[in-house]
Amino acid sequence: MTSKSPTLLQGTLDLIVLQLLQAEPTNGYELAQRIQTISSDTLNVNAGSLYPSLYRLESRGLIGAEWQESKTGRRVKVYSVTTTGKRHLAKQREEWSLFAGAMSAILKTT
Amino acid sequence: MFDRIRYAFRAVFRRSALEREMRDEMQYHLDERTAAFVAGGLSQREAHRAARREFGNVATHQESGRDARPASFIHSMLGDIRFALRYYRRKPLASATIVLVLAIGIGGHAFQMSLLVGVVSNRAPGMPSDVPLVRIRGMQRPKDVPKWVGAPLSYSAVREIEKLSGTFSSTAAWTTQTVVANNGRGTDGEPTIAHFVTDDYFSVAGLRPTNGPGLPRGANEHALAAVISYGMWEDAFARGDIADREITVNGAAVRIVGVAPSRFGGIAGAESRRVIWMPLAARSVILGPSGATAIALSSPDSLLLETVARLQPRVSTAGATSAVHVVASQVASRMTPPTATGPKTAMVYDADVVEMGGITEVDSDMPLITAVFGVITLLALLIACANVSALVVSAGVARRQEIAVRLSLGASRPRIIRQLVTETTLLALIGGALGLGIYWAIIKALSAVPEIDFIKPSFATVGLTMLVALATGILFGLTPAFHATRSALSDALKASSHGATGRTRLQGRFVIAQIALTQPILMLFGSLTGGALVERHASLPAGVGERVLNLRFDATTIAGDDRARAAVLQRLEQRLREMPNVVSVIANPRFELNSSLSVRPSDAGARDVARNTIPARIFRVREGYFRMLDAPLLRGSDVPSSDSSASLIISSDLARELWGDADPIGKHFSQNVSQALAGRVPPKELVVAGVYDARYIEKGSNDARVFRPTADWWNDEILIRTNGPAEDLATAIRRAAREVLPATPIELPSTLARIETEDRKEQRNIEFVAVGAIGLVLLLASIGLYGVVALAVEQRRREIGVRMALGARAREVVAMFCVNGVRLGVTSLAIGLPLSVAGILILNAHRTRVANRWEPSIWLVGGLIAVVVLAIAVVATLLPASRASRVDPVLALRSE
Repeated sequence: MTSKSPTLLQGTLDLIVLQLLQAEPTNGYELAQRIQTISSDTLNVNAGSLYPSLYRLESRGLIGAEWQESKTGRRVKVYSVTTTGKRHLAKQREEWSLFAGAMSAILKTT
Repeated sequence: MFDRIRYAFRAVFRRSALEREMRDEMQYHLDERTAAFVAGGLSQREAHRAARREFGNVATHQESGRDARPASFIHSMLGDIRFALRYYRRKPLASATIVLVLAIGIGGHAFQMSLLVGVVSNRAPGMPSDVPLVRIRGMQRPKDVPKWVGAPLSYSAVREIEKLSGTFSSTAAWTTQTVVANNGRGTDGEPTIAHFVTDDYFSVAGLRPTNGPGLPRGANEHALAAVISYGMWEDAFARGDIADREITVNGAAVRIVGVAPSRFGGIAGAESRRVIWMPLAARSVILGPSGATAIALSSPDSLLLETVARLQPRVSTAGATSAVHVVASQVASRMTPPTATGPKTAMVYDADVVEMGGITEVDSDMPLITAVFGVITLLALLIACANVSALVVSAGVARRQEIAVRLSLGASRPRIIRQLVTETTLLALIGGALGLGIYWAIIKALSAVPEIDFIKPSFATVGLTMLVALATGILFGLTPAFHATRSALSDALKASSHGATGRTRLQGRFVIAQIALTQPILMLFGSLTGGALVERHASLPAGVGERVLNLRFDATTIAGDDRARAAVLQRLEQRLREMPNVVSVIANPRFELNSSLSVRPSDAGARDVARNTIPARIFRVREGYFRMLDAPLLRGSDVPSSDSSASLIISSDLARELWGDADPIGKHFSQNVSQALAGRVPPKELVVAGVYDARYIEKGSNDARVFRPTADWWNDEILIRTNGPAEDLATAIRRAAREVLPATPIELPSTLARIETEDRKEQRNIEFVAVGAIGLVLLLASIGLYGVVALAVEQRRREIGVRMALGARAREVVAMFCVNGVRLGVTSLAIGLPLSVAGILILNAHRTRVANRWEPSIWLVGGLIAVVVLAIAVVATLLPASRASRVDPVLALRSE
C-alpha cells in the first residue's frame, strides 16, 4: 500500500479478497485492479500483500484455484471461493458489520 | 478439508510445481500491468519499468508468498539443515570436536543422573518400585550426645504403630538372623539368611510367594513354615516340586510353604541367594529357646525389628512422623530406666518416617554425598556446554564475513540466527545421540557388576538427556548467533583487516568460566582421593597369604552365655590345631572400639603432630599373630602385659610420624574413649609395647590401626596357618569346624591372599574412576583453550603476516599467542581456585576428619591444580601458536 492510502486493518485484506472472489472468480492481477477500482483508488493493495493473502486463503481451503486461459490467450490462475470459504465469509461479514457499527457509534459520541 | 490436505500435500511434496506456478502468476501480473501502461501511452521500456516499480521486489514477494504456504517452516528448516551439513563437511575437525565434547558431556551427564537416581531411589532387588512404601526408622542417642544413631524398634513399638490405622494402611516388620538350613542335598550347611517376619510382610511389599500358600497368618511357634528364596529353590531343589517338602533350620524341621519372587531377598535386600522367611513367632524355636530370644518379643527394651508401612491416602511422611513420635515416646517411657546394675547411660529414643528407597539409614552421609555428586554432575554438564559455546562462538566469529554477505543480500537477522541455531541444534542432537550411545555402553558395561545393578537405563533419563541436548543447542547457539549478527555490516565486510581485539573476548570468557569450573571438580577429586591414590598399601610377605586361611562364622548363633561360647571356640581352635598340615591357629584380631589417642605431653617431643589427637581403631590381638604372618614386631613384644591390657602395639609409620627415629617403646598415650562417652569415663593410660611393620600389616586408612595384646577372648574369625597351599584344606577345615559348631552357619574359608586381592580390586576400581574423571575434565578444559587460541591465530593471520614481514621472528609470534593462552589460564585460576578452596573448606567442616592417612593439604592440591592448569594452557596454546609461526607473510597479506 502506498503512504497516501489509509492503513489496511489487520486481517481485512483476507475479507476483501474473499468478498470479491465470491462476487466473481478471477486471477491475482484482475483482483488487484478490481480492489483499486471499487475502492475508488482509496485502497491500493501491494502485490507483496495480495499474493501471500491468496496463498494463505488457499492453504486454509477457503479458496480454490484453477489454471485457465485468459482473454489474451495466456495461462492464468483463477481463484474462486470454496463452500468453506463462503461459510467463513458470511461469518466474517457479520462480525465486521457488528464491529463497524460499534466503531461508528463510539466515534459519534461527543 | 480435502482441499486443505491436498494443498498441504502439494506444498510439501510438489514444492517445485508450486514455485513454478507462483513465478508464472507474478510474471503474468507484471506483463498485464506493462501492457496496461503501454495502452496508457508509455513506451514498452518505460511501461516495463513502471510496472516493476509498482509491483516491488519480486524476490521478496516470492519469499513472503512461500512463508504464507503451509510447511514453509519445514522447507526452510530442511534448507538450513542442508546448509549446516555442507558447512560441517567444510569444517570436519571443528564439527567433530563439538559433537565429541557434547557426546562426552551428555553421555556422562546421563550416566551420572542414572547413578544419582539409582542411589537415591533404588530399592532392594525384586522389590516392586511402584509400591508406596515408607520406612519407620527407630533411633537412639545418649541423653547428652546430639547425634542420633539408627536402632531397630521393639516389638511393642511395632504393635503400637500397627494400631495407627489412620496413618498407615498396613505395616510389616522383620528381624534377620543367619541360620543353617539343610535339605539333604549338596548345598547343605551353607549360611542362610532367615527373616522372621510379621503377618503382612509379603502383602505390604506388594508380593506373593508362588508354589504354595505362603506363610500362615497368626502362626504360633509350633507351626514351623518357611518361604524360600528363588535362588535357593533353584540351587537346592532344581526348581522342582516343593509341596510337602521340608528343610531343617538349625536342626528343626520346617515345612516349605512357598517360593519368593525371583531376585527378591527381603524388603531391605540380602546379599545371598539363600534366604528364607519364617513367622516371627518361630524365631525363639529356631534360635534356641534361651532366655534372650524368649523374652525378645515381650521386653520393651529389646530393639529388634525393622519396620516398613504403607501410608493411608493423603498422609504425608511428615504427618506420619509426628504420629510415630508419640508412639516412640510412649514406648520409651515403658523401657527400663538406667540403674546401677542395668543399662548405665540414660538414652533418648525417637522414630521417624521416610520414603523407602536408596540409603535410608539415620546416620548416613547420603544427603551430603548426594548433594556433592549433584553439584559435580551439574558442573560437568556446564563445562561441556561452555566448551561447546566457545567452539560455536569461534565458528560464528570466523564466519562473520559470510554472515555479513548474507545480511547485505537481504537476509533478515532472525533468518541468520535461525540458520546458526539450526546448525548448533543439529550438532547438539548428533552429540546427544552419540552421548546416549556412550551412556548405553557404560550401563551395559556396568550391568556385569552385580553390586551396582540398581543403575538402570531409564526413559526419563534418555528423555531428559535429549532435552538437555536440545536446550544446549538452542541456548548455546543463540548467544554466539546474536554475537555474530550484531556487528555492523561494513565492519564485517571489511573483515579481517582489523586487529582481533574484542572478537575472541566472548569466547575467552567462556573458556575462563569453563576452566574456573573445572577447578572445584579437580579440587574435590584431588583432596578426597588424592591421599588414597598415593597411599602405600600393606601387603603380606610373599607366600604367606596363600598359606593362611580365614575361617568366618556367626558366633552369635552359638547357644549359651559368653563363657560357654568361649569354651566352644577354644575347643574349635584345639580341633583345628590337631588337623594335619595345620601349623598354627589364632583368632583374627578383634575390633574393640573406636577411640582417640593423645601422646602424653612429656612424651610428645618436639614434633607438632604428636600434640594432635589421633583417631584410632583398637583391636585385640593374640600373642603370636604377627609371627604367624611372618611379619614379626620390629620392636617390643606382643606378650600380654600383666597389668591388665595397658600395652599397645602401633604401626611403624605412626611411630615414625610421632617420634621420628627415637625409640617409641615405653611412650605413653592417654586414650579418650569414643565421643559418645567422652567426659564420662576418665581417659585411660596406654604404653607402647611394640611396633608392627606397616609394610606388611595394614595400618588403617582413616584411623590408625593399633593393637592391644590381650588373652582370653574369642572371635568369630579364626586364622589358620598351613604348611602348604591353604586353599586345598578349606573344605576339610570347614568340615572339622562344623563338627564342633553344628548349628552355626560357616562360610567356606578363604585365603588371606584372596581376601587381599578382592580388597585391591575394589581399590583399583575407585582409583580408575577418579583418574578417569580427572582426565576427562582436563581433556575438556584443554579442548576449550585450544579452540580459543586456534581461533585467535586464524583471525590474526594478516597481523601475523605484517609482523613477520616487518621482521618478527617465529619464536616471538609463538610467544605472543602462548602468553595469550597462559593469561586465560591465570585468570581462570584466579577465579576458580579461591572458589574451590572455599568449597572444600565448607565440605571439610561437614565431614569427619580423615587422619593417620596422608591427606594432601588444600594448598598442595591447589598448587598442583595451578601447575596442571598452566601446563595445559601452555600445551593447548603451543599447538595452534606454532601454526601461527608458519604463516607465510606473502600469502597472508595477499589473501586480503
